Amino acid sequence: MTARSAGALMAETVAPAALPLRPATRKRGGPWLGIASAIVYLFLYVPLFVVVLYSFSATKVNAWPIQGYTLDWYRELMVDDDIQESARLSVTVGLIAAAVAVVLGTLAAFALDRSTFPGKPAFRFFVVMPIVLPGIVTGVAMLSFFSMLGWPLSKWTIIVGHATFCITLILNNVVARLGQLPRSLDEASADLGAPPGRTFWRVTFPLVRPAILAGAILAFTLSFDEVIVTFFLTGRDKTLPLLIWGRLRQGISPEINAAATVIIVVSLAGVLLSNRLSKQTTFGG
Amino acid sequence: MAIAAAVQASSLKGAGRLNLGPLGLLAAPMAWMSFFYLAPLALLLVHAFWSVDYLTIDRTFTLANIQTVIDNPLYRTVLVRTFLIAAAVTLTDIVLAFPIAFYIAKRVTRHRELLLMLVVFPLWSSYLVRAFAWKTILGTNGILNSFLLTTGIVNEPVSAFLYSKTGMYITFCQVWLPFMILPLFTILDRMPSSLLEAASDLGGNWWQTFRRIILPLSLPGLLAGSLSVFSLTMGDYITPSLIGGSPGTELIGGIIADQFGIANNWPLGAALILPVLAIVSVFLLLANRAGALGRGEPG
Amino acid sequence: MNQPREDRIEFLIELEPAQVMAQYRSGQVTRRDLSKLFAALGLTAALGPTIGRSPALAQSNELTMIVWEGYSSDSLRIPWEEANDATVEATFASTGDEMFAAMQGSGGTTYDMVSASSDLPQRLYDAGLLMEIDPTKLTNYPDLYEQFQKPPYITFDEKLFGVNFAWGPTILLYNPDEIAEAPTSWNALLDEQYSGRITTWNYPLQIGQYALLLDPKPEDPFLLDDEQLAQVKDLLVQQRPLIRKYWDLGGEVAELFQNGEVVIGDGWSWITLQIQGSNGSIAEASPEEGVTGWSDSWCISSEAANPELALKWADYMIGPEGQMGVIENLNYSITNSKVVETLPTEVREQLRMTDVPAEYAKIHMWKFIPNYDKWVQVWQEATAS
Repeated sequence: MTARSAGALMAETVAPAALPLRPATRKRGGPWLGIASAIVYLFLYVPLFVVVLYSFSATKVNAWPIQGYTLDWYRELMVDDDIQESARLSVTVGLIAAAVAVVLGTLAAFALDRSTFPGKPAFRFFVVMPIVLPGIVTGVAMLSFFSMLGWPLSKWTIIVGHATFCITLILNNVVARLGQLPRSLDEASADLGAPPGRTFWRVTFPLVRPAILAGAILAFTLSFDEVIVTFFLTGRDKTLPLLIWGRLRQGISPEINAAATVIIVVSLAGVLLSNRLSKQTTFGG
Repeated sequence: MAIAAAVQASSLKGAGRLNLGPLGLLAAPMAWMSFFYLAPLALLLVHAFWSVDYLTIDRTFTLANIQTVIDNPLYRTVLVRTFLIAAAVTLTDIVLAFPIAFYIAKRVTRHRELLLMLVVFPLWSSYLVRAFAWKTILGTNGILNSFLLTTGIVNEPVSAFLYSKTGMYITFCQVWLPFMILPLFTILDRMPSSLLEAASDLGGNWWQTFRRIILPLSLPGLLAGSLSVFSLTMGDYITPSLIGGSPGTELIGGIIADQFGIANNWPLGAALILPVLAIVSVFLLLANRAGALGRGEPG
Repeated sequence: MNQPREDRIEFLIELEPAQVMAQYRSGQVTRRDLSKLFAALGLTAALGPTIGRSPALAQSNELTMIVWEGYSSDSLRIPWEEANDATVEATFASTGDEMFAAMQGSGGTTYDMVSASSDLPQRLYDAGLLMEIDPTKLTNYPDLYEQFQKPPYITFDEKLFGVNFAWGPTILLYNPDEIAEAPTSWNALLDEQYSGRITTWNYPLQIGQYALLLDPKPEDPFLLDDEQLAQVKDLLVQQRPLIRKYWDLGGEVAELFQNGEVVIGDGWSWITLQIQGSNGSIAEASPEEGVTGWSDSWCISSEAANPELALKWADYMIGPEGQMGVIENLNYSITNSKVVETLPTEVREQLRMTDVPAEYAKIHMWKFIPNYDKWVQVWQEATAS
């Protein structure tokens, strides 16, 4: 659930489409702003460094200084079937949820951008709710709903839960992008005699694609990391965060630190990829 | 489906500009959201007015749960505590986010993207693990205490960092911070630099510029970020469980989760959600009025 | 191994599930092959009329259970898995409440089995979540001490709903490096000198343990009237500021001791073994006020996918191998009289098994609590402040 809100509210910044180069304001006030920023960066990153560092710790005890270094936890990770199985489940859930959300979120975004209808502000308001309301609300609401319908909890109920908040992410991303596009593009295309279908596929869609892609990657990542909604909607399936949660509760840490380090490295690749993708199709950079 | 009908009506009026009617586009997402989100939410609210009889849910209308939530000092205390911690975390994150957001938006000419990416990146790693890392940092024999001991700032380990409200506060501030920086950055980035220069040309010192110009203009971003941080804290039970001393009862999220997960009292759990929902909704409405919820539509 | 992959999958589909598993265990079939096989079967199932049902293969030899920590230790689980061509999928619960919620949440479909302590089966039975057990199908059943064959907490309407396999007390754990003299009273958990270095189990049922401190001491610490409950609450409120952390899982207790966060707490022998296993300092003490304890039974879900397999597991756990495993892995007392008789005297003494019925009777065993919602309320209010 973690990263849900930010993505929702200011989605396009999460995978920034190449920031235009802007002249900075005249320098004033000395280096204090830079120093303050550096401290905040440090605060943001200290836990990540700790995780990476302790994934090499030879003892299970989380004491400082570290008593010795080892790669054992990574070796254990490699033969840990449970972790691998959970990781696979998380990938499956994330991919399906993101795919569902891409379709539904993009449809809704076009509807919102291209038309006005009574109740539109209400719809706009309602559609951000899954992301703004605490995850626990979504989780228990769906739990009681599925229980009333008699649907057994499974991978599919997790997917439904994730897709629901992912829709909002995609929607916001695409709406923001559509808002930046000059309407004249569509009109020019129509004036040149292109049928609306072709205008959509040849003009509008390519321009929106990066936003959809960035949104999809974000949706996947958030689904991959989600704990709170998943906790209530899972049957016997354990996604990676649920497995990590279970182990952390038991006080098992070094191998989890190793798993987290792998996740950090993989996400780094994801971030770079997403950045690359959004760059390719915009105004250079 | 009144909305859908209305949508159809309006699409007829607007025919010509679009050939895919908004109804067609909206039907699927609308159906999904109604069935999988609105209906569950409504059902949850209804639960608050039911009761539990040993093992079964009694579906006769009752206000007993609401009464319990209001009367029982436990729930009052925890609600107030959760609200205060959420507010403190939000304010702290505002203070922490401003310099960094302003720095990237207005002071940096090169590597802007990289610096922004560095803010976003922690969100891409696991929230659980970030929260857990604080346990290692804040423990009695943890990194922070070792640092304080070797530098001679304290003479014996401070135990109040971990398994405490202080620990939860620090952890929340860090894990949610990017949610504050991002919207703030977006809004600052769009703020014309000429405005700030004009202010200083007119002789305003930085504090006056900040208070009179930057702060009011960045309100939508601030509200968007605050809404995220506040709401995430209000519903969390993971951090209390890892970093708090009394996992089930530190914050309201834990109590709610336990009603559903352990105590098996869904009606009471639903009733406990009502105040959370109310507080966040008020916040949401305020943010919406200030235009903090995205710029996709007019008004 | 030279066969082309696709062919091999086709070949595997033709095999009996047990044969496939045997090949998998012997290394002839890789995990990737297996998952491909499952995918192929899943696809077939989805296209066929059995839409929505999991392929039989995936389920027939998998046993899912929600258990106390330690009951699925490798050395207990793996021999049985190999002997029965089955896999055990275990989830740890931190309390009986959590077990109940996990069972009820899915109407009993998620877990085939639960390692229910003596307080839990009544609730599971009332919720219609338990399957009756036919003791004639359990080869080791006649060897159980008579008191474990049909104990009241797993017998409802004269029918048997559990297989009683282990028991033991909740005791005091302390770090002997920090506390030189063994504590003799539960009062140690309320002692100011250990302020901020105490941990206690986060479970309303623990009210019973603290009720042992009341004066006069209640005859049964699990049958408390409102006044006694209020007195325990006072104790707990007084204890709250001294507590470092209310623990949820046993592994967490081990972590708390080893990281030097606490020096004293309550727990079970399994925790002691965990800490000793990683060279930590830990000692046990049995307070003079007496102890509360548990008697654990394997119960089978009314919706269990494979009750026969579940029965086999239960039978194994009350047989010689399982019972010895319980002693070695958890240091808990056991229920099979034949196995007890084979034990060396010092083990029997240490695990309260020289005279099982007498020593069992000394422990205040957890039991179903009629006004449990009040207990939950008291516990929450006391631990919240």
